[in-house]
Amino acid sequence: MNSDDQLGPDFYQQAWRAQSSQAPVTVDADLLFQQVQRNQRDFRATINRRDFAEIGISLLLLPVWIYMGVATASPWTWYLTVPALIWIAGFLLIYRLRHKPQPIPSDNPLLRCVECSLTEVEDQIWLLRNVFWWYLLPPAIPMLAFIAHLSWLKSNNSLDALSDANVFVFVFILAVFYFLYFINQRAVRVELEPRRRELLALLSSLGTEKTDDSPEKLDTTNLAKSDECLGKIGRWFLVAVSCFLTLVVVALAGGLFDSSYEGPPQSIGPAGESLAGLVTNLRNEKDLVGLAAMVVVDGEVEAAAANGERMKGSSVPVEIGDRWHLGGIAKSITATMIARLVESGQMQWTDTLGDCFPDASLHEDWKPVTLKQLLTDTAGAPANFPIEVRRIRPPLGPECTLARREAVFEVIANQPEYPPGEKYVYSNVGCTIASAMAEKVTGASWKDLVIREVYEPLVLITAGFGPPKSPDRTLPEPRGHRAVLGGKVSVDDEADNTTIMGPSGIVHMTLSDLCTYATDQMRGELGEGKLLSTETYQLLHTPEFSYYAFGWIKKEPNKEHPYAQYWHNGSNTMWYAMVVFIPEKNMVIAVTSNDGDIESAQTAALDIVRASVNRSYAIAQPTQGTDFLKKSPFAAVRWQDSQPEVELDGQWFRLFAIDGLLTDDILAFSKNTYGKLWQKRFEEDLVEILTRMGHPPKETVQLVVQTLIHPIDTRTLNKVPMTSENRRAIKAAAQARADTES
Amino acid sequence: MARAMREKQLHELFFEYSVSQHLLALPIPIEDGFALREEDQKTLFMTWLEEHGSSVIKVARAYTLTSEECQDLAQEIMLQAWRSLPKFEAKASAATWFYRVALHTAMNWQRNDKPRRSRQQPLMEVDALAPESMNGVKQVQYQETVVQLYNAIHQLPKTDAALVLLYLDQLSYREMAEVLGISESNVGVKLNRAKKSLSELMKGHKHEF
Repeated sequence: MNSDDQLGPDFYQQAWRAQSSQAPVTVDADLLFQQVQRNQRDFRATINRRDFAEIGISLLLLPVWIYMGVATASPWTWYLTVPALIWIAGFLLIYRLRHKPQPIPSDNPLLRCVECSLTEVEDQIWLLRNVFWWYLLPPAIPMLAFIAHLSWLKSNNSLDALSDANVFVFVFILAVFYFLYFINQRAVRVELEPRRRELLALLSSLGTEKTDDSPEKLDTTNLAKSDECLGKIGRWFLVAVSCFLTLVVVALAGGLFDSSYEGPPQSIGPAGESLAGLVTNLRNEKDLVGLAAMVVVDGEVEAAAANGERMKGSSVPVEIGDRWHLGGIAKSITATMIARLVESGQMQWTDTLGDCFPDASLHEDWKPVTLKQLLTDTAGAPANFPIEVRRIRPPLGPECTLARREAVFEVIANQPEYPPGEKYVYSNVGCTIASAMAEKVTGASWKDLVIREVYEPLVLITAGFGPPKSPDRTLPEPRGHRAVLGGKVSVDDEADNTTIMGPSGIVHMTLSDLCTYATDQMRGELGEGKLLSTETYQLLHTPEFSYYAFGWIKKEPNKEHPYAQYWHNGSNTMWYAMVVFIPEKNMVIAVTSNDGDIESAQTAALDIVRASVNRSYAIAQPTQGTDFLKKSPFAAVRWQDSQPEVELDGQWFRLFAIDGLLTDDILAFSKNTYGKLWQKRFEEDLVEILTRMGHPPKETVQLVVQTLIHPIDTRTLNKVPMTSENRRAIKAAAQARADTES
Repeated sequence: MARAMREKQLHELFFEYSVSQHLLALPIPIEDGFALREEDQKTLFMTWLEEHGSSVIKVARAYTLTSEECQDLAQEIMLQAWRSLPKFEAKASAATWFYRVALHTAMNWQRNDKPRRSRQQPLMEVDALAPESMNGVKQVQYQETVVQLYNAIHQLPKTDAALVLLYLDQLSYREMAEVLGISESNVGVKLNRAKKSLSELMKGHKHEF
């Protein structure tokens, strides 16, 4: 077609023009004018609403934020959000002034209008794409810092700040900010980018190419997309690193301010002070929150000591009279209760599950399983209940009895883990099934039965169920602690295993009552027990398979310990307890800790038990001004796998004991007392070590040694002289080694 | 000729009122401190609408697919036109000014911002009248052709659709260039391309360019 219609309108144009005359338009001018006014108002209102929402709220929040901070006495990190709010309001104010929203003049040429629209869209894209930097990050950092700070302040140590609730709040805030980021980016992706592409296409079709793309790479090429993707990853990596560093800083700051407890130990009894020294050393060495021990000999407290805190960071010291959660020690208490029912004729050790629960849908293999098998962990019961059972906490009493029976029925409806009566496998379920049988037979709850048959007859007035109650900051009792990332986090006084498996592990009492209970068990072996016949006591302590009895483990006599020991320990992962009775020594030892670091607590407990058996408690404070003799029974000392080998009369031996003190105990004491110098001290200051351990050597000592060459035999060498020459030779050899190394 | 006369009247009207400096008590943006009185605006707008009213529908129909959307866009175009009226510059012809407003509105119109229908009374009515001095066969032919043209326009890119609309309304290259904001030579090149596309879409029809 030529311009200016020189050739006249073609057919399409004629048809087009014809429609104009066919459709005259009538307009209500007044209505149109009103609508224009309304549109103007709407436009202004929209702009005002948006500006108020973004700028106004930020400014309004300032006084509210400050007031809330003052009213709630929030820490200083609360106010870090104030500059962030000022930043957001200021940024938006300046941005709005620079990009004042105006309707694009509609009567401009189309090209100009498209360019204006494109500029507006690109401004909006830039704003939303960078929302992370100007809108989300500024308030996110102070908010996360405040949460971290508050967590730390409310916690008792640095790792409390990493408790589940605090981590949840942290993650929740991050999730909220991510959601805000996501919806903004979605708006860019779904609404603005398509519009921009459309406008670019229009520009392109109008014969102009937009070549001055902003450095933000607003175009939607693959390169830009990959850059955008990398940008996103970079941003969230930054956030992740920031959060991690914040948590680390909080943890480290907490660590700096987490003063390790250095309060004095509490002790009673003739050897209490010595035991207190050992307890304190072990608690420090093992980094336990609290550690306590009691040694009862011939029915009298020989030593009792406690050191540490009831709650990490509280500075409230643990005391000898505190109550401690006993974990699996409950099994022997349950077995003792059931033994009383057997002796009273209400039950028989041979009672079977099939007889007790005739209406239950038992698996055939469970029917012949006996009460005795259940209590000695030889019934084929699984180690634990399923997780859904472990989650519920019915209150002790009739409600718990019903829930326990249901849980037991779930277990016995399925095949046992292994054929009953064939082997021992430690289980929290077997004891619980036995208790369910007792509840069925007596009509009473496990809790009431234990109180009636064990607590009351033995007058265990501090004994109870679950963790000891310590509900407020006064901390009337210790709190349990969970080991987290090498640190300790206190738990509330309700934290425990499910009450359903209470018979296997939810009791508490003081050291004194625990020793009373264990003493009765020990005396029962000797025919002097209060609760049961001698035969029954002996049955309770006789292993069914290998070493496990009715909640007691029997350690057979050996060369090191020529007497039988009966013991059990327990932990609900927040507490630890161990109890030992030795009938031949008429000795009961109980060790407790409010620390779930089982390995450390166990090691400390074993050290205390060993020291107690040997009566070799550390002396808390070394005697000042004492000149210990510089003597040794050995001509030379060398080390093999951290064990000393000693030279006597030109022959090398492995050393087992000195004057009845085990080498392991001597070394443990040396480590506790002298730290890194423990080997040097053992070699050069043996007299001092033995004296501090309460066993000062005489002119001669008795040594138990083992030859290193065939035939290997263990010898007891009596009256081995302690000489200064020996000690000088050892010292000279040590000096020569040091010179060689340097 | 009639169109030229009306445009002249409009120019004079705007000129007269811009020098008389009547300030408006209207919420309409004031360009350079001058604006039209409400009554004058109405008069001017109704005069303009008499000439270009049907084009409102044409543009709206070209850029929408349903009659409801067409109605919405047509009303939006009129609102924009009214809003832009005080800024009408005499150096632009009424036809090009209208197309600028209409095309800009159509290009920016979002199909999802149409709830105005639910809260707004209709501003316009379209009366279907049989034109005089047109035989029935021709009329049917024209109607069929227009329907085909709209179908074809709907399939064209937005810019090509705009060019085709301007071409069908017999605007000159210069006027098209004013509307689109590009050079006349560029208009020629693009219009040829647009017509070629239109021709392909209209294939089967007996009329060719």
